[in-house]
Amino acid sequence: MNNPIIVYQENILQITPPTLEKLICWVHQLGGCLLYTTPNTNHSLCRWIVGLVPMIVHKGLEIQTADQSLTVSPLHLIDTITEQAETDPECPIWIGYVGYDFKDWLEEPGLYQGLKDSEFDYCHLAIYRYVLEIDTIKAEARLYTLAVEGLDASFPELDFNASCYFSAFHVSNLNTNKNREQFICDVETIKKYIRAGDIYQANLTRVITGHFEGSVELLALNLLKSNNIEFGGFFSNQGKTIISTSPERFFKVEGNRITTSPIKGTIPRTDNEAENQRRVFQLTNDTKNRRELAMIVDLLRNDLSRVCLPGSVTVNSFPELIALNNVYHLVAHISGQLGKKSFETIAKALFPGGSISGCPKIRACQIIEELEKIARGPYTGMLGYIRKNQDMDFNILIRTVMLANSKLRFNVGGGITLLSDPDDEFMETCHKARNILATIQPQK
Amino acid sequence: MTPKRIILFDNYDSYTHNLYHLLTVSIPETDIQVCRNTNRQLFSENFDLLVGGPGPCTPNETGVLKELFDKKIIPQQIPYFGVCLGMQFLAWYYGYPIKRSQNPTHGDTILLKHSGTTLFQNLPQKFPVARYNSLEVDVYDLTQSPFEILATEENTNAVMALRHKTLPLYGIQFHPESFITQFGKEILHNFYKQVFSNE
Repeated sequence: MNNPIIVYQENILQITPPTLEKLICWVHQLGGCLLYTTPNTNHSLCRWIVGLVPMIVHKGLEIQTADQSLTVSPLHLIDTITEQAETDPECPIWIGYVGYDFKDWLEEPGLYQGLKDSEFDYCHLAIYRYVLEIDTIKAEARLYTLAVEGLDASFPELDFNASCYFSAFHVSNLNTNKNREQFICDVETIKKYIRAGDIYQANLTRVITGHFEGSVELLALNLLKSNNIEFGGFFSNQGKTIISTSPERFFKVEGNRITTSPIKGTIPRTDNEAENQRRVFQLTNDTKNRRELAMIVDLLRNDLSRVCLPGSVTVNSFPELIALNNVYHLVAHISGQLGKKSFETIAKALFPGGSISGCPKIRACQIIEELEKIARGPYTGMLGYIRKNQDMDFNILIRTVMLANSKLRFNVGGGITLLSDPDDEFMETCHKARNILATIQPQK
Repeated sequence: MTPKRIILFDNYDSYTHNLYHLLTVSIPETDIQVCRNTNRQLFSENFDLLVGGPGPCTPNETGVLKELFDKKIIPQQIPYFGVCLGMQFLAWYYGYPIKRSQNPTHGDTILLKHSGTTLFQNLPQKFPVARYNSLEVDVYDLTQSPFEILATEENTNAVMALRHKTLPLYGIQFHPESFITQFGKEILHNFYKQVFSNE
């Protein structure tokens, strides 16, 4: 395809918001991506963004269109296509994920091993035929119908009346690639690297796998309802599924302002309110957590400084508490004034996220590859959208289930510093897994 | 005054661009270029100041920095300012040992015992600075060295700032660019005045 890809808007409709169940059905049947926030009175703004029926897909190194033509594509085409699109400035143009392993293509060659996931594409950022933006507080929805000039393909209509029925699902043969002893051994290795001066911090994860049978839609619905989720999502395309219950924003661009909100520090939540109060105090005053958050804040200040005007990068809160059903976290907010508003520039400066890689980032990523040995796939990448006006919002893909060919998997991990207690670090991965495990094995 | 051309020597670190922003706001009239430590073009370029950034691993793993000192920085007496690994490099370059720190810490602030002169002119006696290091230079190893010690950690023998007695070479172990360090901007400005005030 040598001609520029021009996206244009056929129409915008105000519609009654479809139910979450309906959206999940559509995403699964038509191929799509839902960006989800738990409706919650604490949020003044609660938006769901949904893309249905992919027309153009950027897979990181190539672009695929619905009429099957394929072209090698650099990342800047994302910006070019967005800028040339003929539509409402608020219209979400690209929706989807960038997987962690895509980091190799954003740095100079030869730094990383080139791990690639066998099931998931590096990226799946798509322009969809139908884009819905739903305001769940006001119960309003906008439906954009988009088209691509010269694209020779026909697309299904959205069926608003079809009923959706979810059957049951079953997960069996749960296993992990690293038991307690192996995980602890890796924590010790990281501490040796820290002692030798290689790094200050690295995020180590392990994989939990299982055999999945039954309704993907019900799994998605239950996971999205399983926690207080601010940056969740459900992606489905040709048998590949990602369901995210992420509490973490990677970055948000609004106007010329970019904000990033790394999470560091975790403590499990209990049923006892007095005990929880004590734990919150412990978390916010704990030396290891505060130092770790400080180093990640400096790391993200650095990454924002690569794209922001000198002197404009500020730390707005350090730290702030997040309460989830199963755990408490600490989060910080860092923001700056963008010099240039471009997805490619921002991705090259920020990706992969500092809170899920380590510091210094390149050396930490090398050590992670050495210890984890396998590709992370979409996990610890990002999921989000880019509007026509190049406002964008992406999460960090953590607490995320990936499903392909009846194989279910999710990673759990944590940040390792010199102050890490190896046993505690393993237990932390168990606490983080608790919520997903309870959802995928509801009877236990 | 023509802008000073500064090379910020990036040791594949994740705090380099914090330092870039700090340099921009601390030093007037500058033209700063960030170069990775593998960049051989530096040998043929003209610049007024080399800033040796922080980074992973040891001073022996700083790309072309040693060669750059041999061929350019020392013969041409080009001013140098090293941060963390960039300071350790100075001690290592002159043959002094870099040891594992007795008190390795990352993302924590410490207090300095400093001279009140040069880099620390007009600064209070006690203020917090951020440390991110597992390796250090011991003050007792530098007693017969060409270096003047400008600061140590308040309660240890770890060197926190030094300068060469005759050449315009400076280094600090702590991170002036961290958001938990106070007076980073003033320290860089003091350095600039020290090195370029005679012009």
